[in-house]
Amino acid sequence: MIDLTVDGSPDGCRAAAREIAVLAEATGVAGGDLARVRERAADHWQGEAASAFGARASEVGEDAERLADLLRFLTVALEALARRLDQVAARLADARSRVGAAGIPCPPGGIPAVPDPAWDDAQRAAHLHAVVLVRAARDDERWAQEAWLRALGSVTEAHRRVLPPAAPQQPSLLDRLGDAVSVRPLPDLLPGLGEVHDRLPDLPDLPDLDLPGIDMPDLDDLRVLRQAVEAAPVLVSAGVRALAGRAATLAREAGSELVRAAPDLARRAVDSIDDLPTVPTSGRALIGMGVSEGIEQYEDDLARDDLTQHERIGRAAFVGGATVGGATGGMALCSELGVTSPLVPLCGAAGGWAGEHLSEAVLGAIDAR
Amino acid sequence: MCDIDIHPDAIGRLPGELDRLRGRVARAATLPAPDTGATATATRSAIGAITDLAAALVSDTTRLGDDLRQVLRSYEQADDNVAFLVRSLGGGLP
Repeated sequence: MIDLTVDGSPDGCRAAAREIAVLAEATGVAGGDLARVRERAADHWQGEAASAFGARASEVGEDAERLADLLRFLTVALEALARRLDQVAARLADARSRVGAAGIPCPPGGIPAVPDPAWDDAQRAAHLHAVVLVRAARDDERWAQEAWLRALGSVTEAHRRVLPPAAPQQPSLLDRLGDAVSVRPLPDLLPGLGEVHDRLPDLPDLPDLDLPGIDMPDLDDLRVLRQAVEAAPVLVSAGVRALAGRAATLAREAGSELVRAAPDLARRAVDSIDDLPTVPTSGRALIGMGVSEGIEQYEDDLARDDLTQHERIGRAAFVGGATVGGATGGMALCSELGVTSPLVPLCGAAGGWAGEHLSEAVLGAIDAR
Repeated sequence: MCDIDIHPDAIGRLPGELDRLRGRVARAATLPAPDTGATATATRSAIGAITDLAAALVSDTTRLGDDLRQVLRSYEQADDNVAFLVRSLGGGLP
């Protein structure tokens, strides 16, 4: 059977065209109104802000005029599509009526695809004529749809020009930081400081310290300092993981070796964020403070006779690493959240402080045990 | 030239005008996606794009009105400060 159905609704197209025309009218009027607003503003307001307002109003007005032009064009194109679909339907109906008039039985919505051997010459001629009409109608339909698609292309182009697609998402700073210090993917590490504190008595000794998987905190708001502090366990984990492998090596070295190794660790941490343009030099200096914390812990532990030299070195490396991780992660987190550069060192300080104190709490828990 | 060189009576009427034109566009910006047959999917996508463009125009116009209101508020505050200074100086004059 040759199908005579016409896809699409000409009446629906006309109704939509009328509504597009209404929007075209509204945007065209808006363009004119914006031009008048700009002129009256220029008459009664001078200065840099006035110039900026006038320039922006001019841009928006031009956008409105362009949108109005596009909508008028679409209105015409959509009405043309409706008209052509009607013409196609009329041709197909004509073809069917010719076949019917010749006494050829037709299935619903179509005509026979091939002549029946029982037909007479008049019926064969009518059928052939109908087939030619159907082919011509389908060509017209295809042409109408192609014309409409070309019109739609102008919409796509305008949309791309006015509202360009968002750039592909780059790996987050936290992800890159995580890669740099070989931590697990961050989401299952992220934190709740109180929860970790609650679990301190149960934590295993270093370097097997692990932190519970906690859901990602809500990043919708920018209460960055709280989040930086909340992120501290991640950062501690990062520090621990970065240093755990080195702790055994450090523990075999003399105390003076720690002093040499600590700056190297800090440099590695700094290198890991060298590609973060929003972290200023002053922020990186905070990471160096983490090294100082480690050395301070070592010096404090020198007064304790119950610790071996290996234990002192391990504890110092842990506190220093936690502070470095805290400062680094705090800054990265704030950068990720869009905090401006002057505040990033503050985030580093908060993260470093949290990392330092949490690590000391961990050592306290181990001591108590 | 100073940004405070402004005639608030004239400028003060403009945000309302921007609101009205924005409202006209917003009310007309809900469009049906007609059944165009073989191109129905592309048509739906284009109607969505047109709606986006109209929404962007509404948003831009809203921003312009908000900016003007902010300027007028700043002017009023500055005017209050100047009035306060004049009163203070006037009180100190013989």
